[in-house]
Amino acid sequence: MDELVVTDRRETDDGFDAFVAARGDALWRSAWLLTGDHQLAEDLVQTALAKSWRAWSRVGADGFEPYLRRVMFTTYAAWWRRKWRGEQPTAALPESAGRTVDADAKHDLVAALATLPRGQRAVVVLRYFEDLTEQQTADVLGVSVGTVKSQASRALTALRSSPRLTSDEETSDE
Amino acid sequence: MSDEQWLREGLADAVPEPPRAPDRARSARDLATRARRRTAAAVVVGGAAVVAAVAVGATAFDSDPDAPPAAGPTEVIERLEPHDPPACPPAPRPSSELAPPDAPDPDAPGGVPAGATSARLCAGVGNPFDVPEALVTDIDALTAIVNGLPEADLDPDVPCPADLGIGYRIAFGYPDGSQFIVSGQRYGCRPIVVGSTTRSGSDHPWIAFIDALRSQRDSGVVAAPQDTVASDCLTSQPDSPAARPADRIIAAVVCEHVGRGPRGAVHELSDAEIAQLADLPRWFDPEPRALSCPPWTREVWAIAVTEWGDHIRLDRACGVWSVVGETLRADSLAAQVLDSAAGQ
Repeated sequence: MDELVVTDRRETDDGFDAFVAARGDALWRSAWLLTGDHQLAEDLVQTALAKSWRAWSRVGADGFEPYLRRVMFTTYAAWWRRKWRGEQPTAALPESAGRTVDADAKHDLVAALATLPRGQRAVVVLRYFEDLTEQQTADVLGVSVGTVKSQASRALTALRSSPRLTSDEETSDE
Repeated sequence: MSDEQWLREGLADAVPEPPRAPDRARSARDLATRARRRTAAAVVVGGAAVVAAVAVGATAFDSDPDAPPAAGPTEVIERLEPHDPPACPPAPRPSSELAPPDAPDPDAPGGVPAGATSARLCAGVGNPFDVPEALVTDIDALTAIVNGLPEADLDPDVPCPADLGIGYRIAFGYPDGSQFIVSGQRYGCRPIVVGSTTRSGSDHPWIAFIDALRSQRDSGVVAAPQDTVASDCLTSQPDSPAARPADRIIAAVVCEHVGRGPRGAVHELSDAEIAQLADLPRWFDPEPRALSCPPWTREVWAIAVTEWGDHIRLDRACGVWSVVGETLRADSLAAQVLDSAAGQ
């Protein structure tokens, strides 16, 4: 019996490891758009993975990514609600990670994105970066399709009228 | 290029290359294991309180080995996995004799046990209402507010207002699937039954819940309204107290009495009419005023659904649209849209 348990555990770990190897970077990119910070993005991915790991065998390989994505976005909301930044959940810090590299966040669109309310930012990342449908986005965030539509509409309007992007376009037009 | 395409391409260009992180999977497993150990330690430390929480639980749960461990009273970590918040129990019948949780239960603790991770506002002993989603943030603060209420003065000689109003329950949910339900009445002496005790000040948890839910909605991610279809006129859903005047309307129907027969939907608002309502910056008159004629003279009413899944009902009486139970009036632009839909 113990042998069976060990085998199941190993299969679970192998599947989980393969999933993280294949999709970890994609998750990190979404997390970076949400947080605008390399290290916070890594923390967010790590925390979501840690929360979801035990669900791998129950949810299955096919259902794991939607499950994990939902956990990650919910965690993102909870972090900012609690203004919790203190803990560093990663056991092994990724190479080259650090605040200094977040000059990337000075990109005008990213800077404008950072000014959006968290809900709108989450909708933008899911709809326009991960290319999820409105229904899929609603499922991840646990909101209605109507909310996704209205949040996306407001976000697009806000981004299009952002002074950062407006001045950028005016400059490029000249 | 459309705005959406512009945004897609812009985001794809903006994202930097991820740093190398070869041990993400192992690190995540280590983190989960450490979190579970810390939780177990917290449960041992606060064992008595956790046992109380489980003992009070009204809902049985499976002993799923994958189920998330119960957070200890100090809530050392967040929940390891999402869990379903409690469902609303059926509201008590108005004429039935009160029983727990609407009456004190001597075997229950006298306060809300620590460790709740969600709460749902449900109809209780009084006028009904419906709130579409559960609160999953600021649960500790809500728990503290309920537990901080003073014991009620149960002296039968103390007079209480003989008004009628909303009765509510708050079902606190715990990670193990159990619930603890408190029952308040927003009328009379404003009592709230909390386990074995009756306390006074039932307005405070109600207000705190709605404030916290609105904040949760503002956070934009956690709320989970699913019902975005205006109910028909025969089965009108009770109003949601969480609706706000600035909320966006996404569906509505206008209803009227048809002779002595059943009520029927007269007109489901078109997308263009909904857009007119939705685009109004505030669709309630910001200056509440008393109506000049009694609301029971209404013959036409509307049921609207907000972007949050809240149902709100407006009555048209004496040419004025007003929210049932409130003195808010639809502003003139919103009233024009509704009047047009009602053929007035």
